[in-house]
Amino acid sequence: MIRLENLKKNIINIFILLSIVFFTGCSHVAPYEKESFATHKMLSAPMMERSAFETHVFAIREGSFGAESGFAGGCGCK
Amino acid sequence: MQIIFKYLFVVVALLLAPLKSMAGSFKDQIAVSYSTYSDNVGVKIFSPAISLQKKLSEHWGLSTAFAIDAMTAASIRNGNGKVKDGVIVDAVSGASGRAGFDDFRVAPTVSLTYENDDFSANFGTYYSGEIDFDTIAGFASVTNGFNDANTIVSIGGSYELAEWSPTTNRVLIGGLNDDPSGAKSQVQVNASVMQLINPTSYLQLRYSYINQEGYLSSPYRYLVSDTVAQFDRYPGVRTSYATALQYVTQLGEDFSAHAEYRYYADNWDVQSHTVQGQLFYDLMHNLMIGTRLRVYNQSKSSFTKKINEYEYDDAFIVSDYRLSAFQSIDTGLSLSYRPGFFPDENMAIEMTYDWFTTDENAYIENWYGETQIKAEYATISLSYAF
Repeated sequence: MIRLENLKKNIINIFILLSIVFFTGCSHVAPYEKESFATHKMLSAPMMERSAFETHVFAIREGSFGAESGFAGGCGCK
Repeated sequence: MQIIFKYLFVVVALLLAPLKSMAGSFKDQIAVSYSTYSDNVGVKIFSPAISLQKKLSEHWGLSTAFAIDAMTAASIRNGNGKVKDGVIVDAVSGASGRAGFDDFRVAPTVSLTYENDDFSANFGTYYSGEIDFDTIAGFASVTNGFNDANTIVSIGGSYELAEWSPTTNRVLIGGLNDDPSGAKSQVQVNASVMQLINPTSYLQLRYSYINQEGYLSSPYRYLVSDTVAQFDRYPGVRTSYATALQYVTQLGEDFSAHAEYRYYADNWDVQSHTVQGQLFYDLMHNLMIGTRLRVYNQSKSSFTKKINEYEYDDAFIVSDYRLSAFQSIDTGLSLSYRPGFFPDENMAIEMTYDWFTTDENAYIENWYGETQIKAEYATISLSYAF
């Protein structure tokens, strides 16, 4: 249990740290530069139906779950 | 196996609903799909589904989906056939050696989406019902873009209640609030941050917290070894954390590469590492092909022993290989085609085929009589946006 609490803290800390880095932004991509993100191949899960079904398959054939690509933010391509 | 498919389909539906709302502006769309799964241990699944999206007003949209799973599960029918004290321990499920499907599941999902510039919210409900297992869940998520949508933050959650009604009429000890029918609850919280790096690359960080309480074993699973013949017994609480980092980049004009790593840990001491690489290529402007390789490695739970080391008075008994240490590999191919004869290429046809295999595992051999699991699954979908 102690080990899990340490892991939990580490994972949360890493997530918060990386989120802060992301918020400050490495650079700014202007709207007119986002053309590539509008293409199908640049989606975080281009094969949406497989993403949904494979989450199902992996969850029942493997012992872990969570943080799948099915839950994700947009591509920023609007 | 049947059990696991029942339970985890809820996760799929809950993830899919927010995905559709976050993929861009809401639009009218109909999609039909058909997925199949089969493996070398007798499990076959056929899963047709239909989904509809309808824009109700400038800011509101409605999504509905309906899926059916038809399953055969030889493992439930046959058990592990082990002999103890001269007696073959037979399966205790109600499924006999009849032909055809062992189970059907129907699963409707409804959700509402609100979009306003860079902000969107989605909330809905899901139900799954079959002969011996029912699930109902509610979910919600919000997404907001910052810095001209260079940064997209999403937060979501779901709450699920599930209950067993096993065909064996067993009293399932350890259910939610000591419910003998084997009830359980699950709370899941997801968060993600997507950051554009440059005009051709972005990073995405995802985090999940999942807490399950209640009857977390299977009413049909039992361990037969040289020392025991017992039904599986697991702890009544499982708390899990997972975080994943995905990097997507365009290579030249026609290629994109996706690299992903996920780390998982829970209070049962299961830890896993997942690494995945995908490559997509535009053969033509409306025809894309892809390939992927996924490698998975996990440790055993703290209460998993070697099969012949369990004793009758052990607090926990495990027959499920998914609580043992093992690895798996998945390789797949994909194709996406948007016929040019439809206006604005609004129709999309997508097909995928994957091969999945585990390494050799004593628990798999003990239960299924095969040293490893080898599976194939495929999806085909047709969608049309109005």
